[in-house]
Amino acid sequence: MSALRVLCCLDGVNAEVLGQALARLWPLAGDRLQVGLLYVIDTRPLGELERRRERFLRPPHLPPVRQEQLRQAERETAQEILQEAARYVNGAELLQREGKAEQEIVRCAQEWGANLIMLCARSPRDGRGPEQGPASVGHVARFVLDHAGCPVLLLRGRLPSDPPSAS
Amino acid sequence: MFLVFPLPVLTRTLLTALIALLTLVGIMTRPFRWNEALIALAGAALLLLLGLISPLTALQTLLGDWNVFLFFLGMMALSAFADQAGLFDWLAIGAAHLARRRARLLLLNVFLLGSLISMVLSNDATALILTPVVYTLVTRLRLPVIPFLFACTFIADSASFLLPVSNPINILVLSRFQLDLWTFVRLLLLPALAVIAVNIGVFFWLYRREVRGDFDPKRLPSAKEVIKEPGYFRYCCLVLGAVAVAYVVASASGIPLSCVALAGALLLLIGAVRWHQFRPRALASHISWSLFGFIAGMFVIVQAVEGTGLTRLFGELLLHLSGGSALGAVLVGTLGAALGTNLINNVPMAVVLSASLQALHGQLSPTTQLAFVVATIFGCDLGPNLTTVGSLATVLWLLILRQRQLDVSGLDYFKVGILVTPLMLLVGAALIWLLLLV
Repeated sequence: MSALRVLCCLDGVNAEVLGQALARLWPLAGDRLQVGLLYVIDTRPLGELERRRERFLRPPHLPPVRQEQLRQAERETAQEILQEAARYVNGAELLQREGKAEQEIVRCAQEWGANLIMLCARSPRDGRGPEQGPASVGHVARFVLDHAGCPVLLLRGRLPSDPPSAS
Repeated sequence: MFLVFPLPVLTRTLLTALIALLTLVGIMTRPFRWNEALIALAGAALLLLLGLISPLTALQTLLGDWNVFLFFLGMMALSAFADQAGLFDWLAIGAAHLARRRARLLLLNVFLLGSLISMVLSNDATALILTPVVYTLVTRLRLPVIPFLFACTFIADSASFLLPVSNPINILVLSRFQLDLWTFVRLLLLPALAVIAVNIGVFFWLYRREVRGDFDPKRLPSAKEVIKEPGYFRYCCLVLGAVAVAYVVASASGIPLSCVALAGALLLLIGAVRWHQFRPRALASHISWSLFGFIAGMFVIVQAVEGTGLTRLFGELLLHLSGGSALGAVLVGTLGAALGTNLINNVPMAVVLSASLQALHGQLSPTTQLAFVVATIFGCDLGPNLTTVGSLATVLWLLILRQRQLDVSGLDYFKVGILVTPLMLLVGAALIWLLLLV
């Protein structure tokens, strides 16, 4: 029996939701289940910062020191999110990417050889859309559905009542 | 060239108008992503080469606006030294501590901090220095970045007419019109506070679901981590406090504000050398040299257009549209400036509008002129929030990317700008009009 490689897409607050879903999948797949935890550092806000600098007639790139601070904060946070999620899934492979989340998820799924992508229909923190009905699927999930080369499992996530504490 | 072979007046006028128009279109569309400064300087150089403005007039124009150039320089240097001292990081951490773990309170504090920085160090400091600091902070706190990023970029403009020094555009407009500090504050402080309140209120409503809950203060860096040299930091705080007071005194007594900004920057430079914190490269990276080229180019072009009498015609058009009333002047000035800043950029728009209003000297009643001047400042300061990204060119570029199935966050910003800014413009313009009547 070939392995079932499941790529779980983290957004910083959905680790528990993904962990619960995997717990239901585990009895069905057993030892065949291989889990990859993916977190994508979204580079779009940084792009917006650069556009803003251009409006003020400055070179688009941030001063090197400031850029390094920002990137370090992003990398440390990404690692923290991955480590937290790893507590829900023993033996998971930790994957970190940078770019536009939807594109990186599709690309990573292909490169990692995922048989299934698991992600929330909309980030529990993104309160812009309803939990059900039209517009309940966020733009990241929509893009992944449209472009992924493997089955996609969408989860209806809820924001945990308390944020994960620092460890 | 044409100074040697004089041209008929009509031909000179048409040529000048054509070059000015092409320059503005160039700034608006930025073909091949050319720098705006290059486009403005190319337009000015062409006018000089064709003899449509004499080198002496161009030089006199630039020298006459020394206060504007030096204020830009002093303002950027002040922000750069404050950044090197760790002031922005320290303030942001302080804002987070004062938020008492509440994400919403932190958003409010970011708005208040942005207002304070804009008021004293200008909107550039908030938009360019505070924004990445807040970005880093909320990333560490694992809060959604976008609402806080938006908050910084919006408040930079919304709070940029609290004082004359809050936006270089104010200095640019006031260099042509003598507006004392009391009149400025009387007509613009209340609208500024109202606009800030509207901005905060709308943002809290827009992001009510995303910004909620608590954050973990243990993730915050300590103040010691961000202040490299405590002695220099304290000195920097003292100097900036003195500069803030001096700005008010200078505004009230008619002393050029560039003198205060440059004196403050010089004091900070001395402190930086004394505490071994002077890093020329870091300082230079905060100074936008192309900005000076851009302003210089625009000053020369507008001066050439003024010489043809076209700015007067434009001023008369504005006057006609306003119907000569204070309400009309506020509405036309605000709307025209706000739309213009999004078509081109607020610097050329402020220069064009100021020149047009100045050309009408004597034709306007004092109240109508005051209404136009205040509306120009208000519209040029707040207008860029309409498309957030500053100019229509960027918006068009984003729309093209969207058509190619690329998701672009800039369009989200555009949507917020379109929702919030008209409301702020309306509230502010109404208040300005009411204050003019008092």
